[in-house]
Amino acid sequence: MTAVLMSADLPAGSLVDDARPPADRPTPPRRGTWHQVPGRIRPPGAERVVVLVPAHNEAASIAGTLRCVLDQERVPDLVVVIANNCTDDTAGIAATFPAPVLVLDVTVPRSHGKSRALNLAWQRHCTDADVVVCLDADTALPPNAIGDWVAEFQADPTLAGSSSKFTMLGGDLLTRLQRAEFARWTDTSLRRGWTSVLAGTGCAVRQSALQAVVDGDGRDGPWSYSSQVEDFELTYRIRERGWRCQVSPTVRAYTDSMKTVRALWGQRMKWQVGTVEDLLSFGADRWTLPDWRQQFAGLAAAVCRVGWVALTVVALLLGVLTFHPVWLLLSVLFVANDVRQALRIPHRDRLDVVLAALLLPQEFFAWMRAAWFTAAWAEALVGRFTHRSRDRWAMQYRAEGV
Amino acid sequence: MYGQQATASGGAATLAYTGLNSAWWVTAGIGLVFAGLTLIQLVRRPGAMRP
Repeated sequence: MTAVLMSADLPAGSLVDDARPPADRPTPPRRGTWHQVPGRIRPPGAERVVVLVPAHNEAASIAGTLRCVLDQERVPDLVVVIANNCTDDTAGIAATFPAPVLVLDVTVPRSHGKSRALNLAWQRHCTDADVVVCLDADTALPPNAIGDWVAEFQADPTLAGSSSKFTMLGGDLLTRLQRAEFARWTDTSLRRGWTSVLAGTGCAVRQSALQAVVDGDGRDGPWSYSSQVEDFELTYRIRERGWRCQVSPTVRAYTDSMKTVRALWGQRMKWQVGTVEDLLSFGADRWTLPDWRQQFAGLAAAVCRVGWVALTVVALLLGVLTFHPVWLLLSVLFVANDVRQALRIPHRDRLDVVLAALLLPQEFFAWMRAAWFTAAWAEALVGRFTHRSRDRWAMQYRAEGV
Repeated sequence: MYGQQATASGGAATLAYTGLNSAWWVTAGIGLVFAGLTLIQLVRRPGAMRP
């Protein structure tokens, strides 16, 4: 969130994904029964699109983000930059941009500050919108983004929200590992045709769906003050009303990666603790079952890794360790799959594939993942019994040095 | 008396062996399940849309 992401940093000639005529673009598969979102979108060209850009001390990146928004083939009707508790020049820089950019310089309670800032802007500027785009201030959209999102909503009345395909640019090890992980997430979501999280980093949501959540739950605005992962919570509230949320097949967002292990740990603990807290609160139903499965798989992977090391050590100490080459097949299988997935990473280079083939970098990431899964479950369960919750937003800001 | 000690010692060893054996089967079982899921991913046709 701290690095500068300017439109000039994006790879030339690659900003529009799947650059084929709209009619030729693949339609996501439809499964189950989806409800049509009440409230029709206006005819093509007449939809009102409002972009919300929540920003907390993003002076280094806000200009690049706004340039990308104003460079859209389909320029939004209003862009609201919500400078939330900023101590830097975020608001000043945003104010140098012409209409339709509007700056709200707000001071809101720090707890759930992003949700409060978004709700404030939504109440003031989105009630007459058709499509609300949420975009983090360190994220850049290619020129096709808003036009493609509007076309998706026009084409499918059951669609309530569409997330971007996220890609991190950069050549350091942590960025490459995160890029591979996000590519896997995107691949799975595109294959399924639905997603359980419209990532607030860059997504579009139909205003009538947001309004229905607000009306149905009697909230200040669509974004919750009780969840640490407000985008996951909102997506659940939309989906439980029978609407579909997807990852867009054509809209990519370029966002910043976590540059240090500490920052990555802070981000993932926030996501993971928040997800577990929300899942414990939602319970198990048809919308959360895939997320429960994912949690179970994450914990099982942690048990397997710890068990493998512990058993190896014990067997060594007892002098009974024997080596059976057949187990090497498993490693070969995992490496083959990692390499195959690395070949699908957008904007990949040879090193992305080499890293997948080396096994150790992916294994390092898998150990980290096992650690934050376990730590997050422990924290969420303890918090549930003690009724205490740590402000993971504040901890992440500190870890990133924001 | 020696017999009783030997039985206790043998019981503890059996318990430790059973525990280790169970831990091995749990770990290997989870590993094999993940290997199976990975194999399915590997043989499945890649998605038509770029991630």
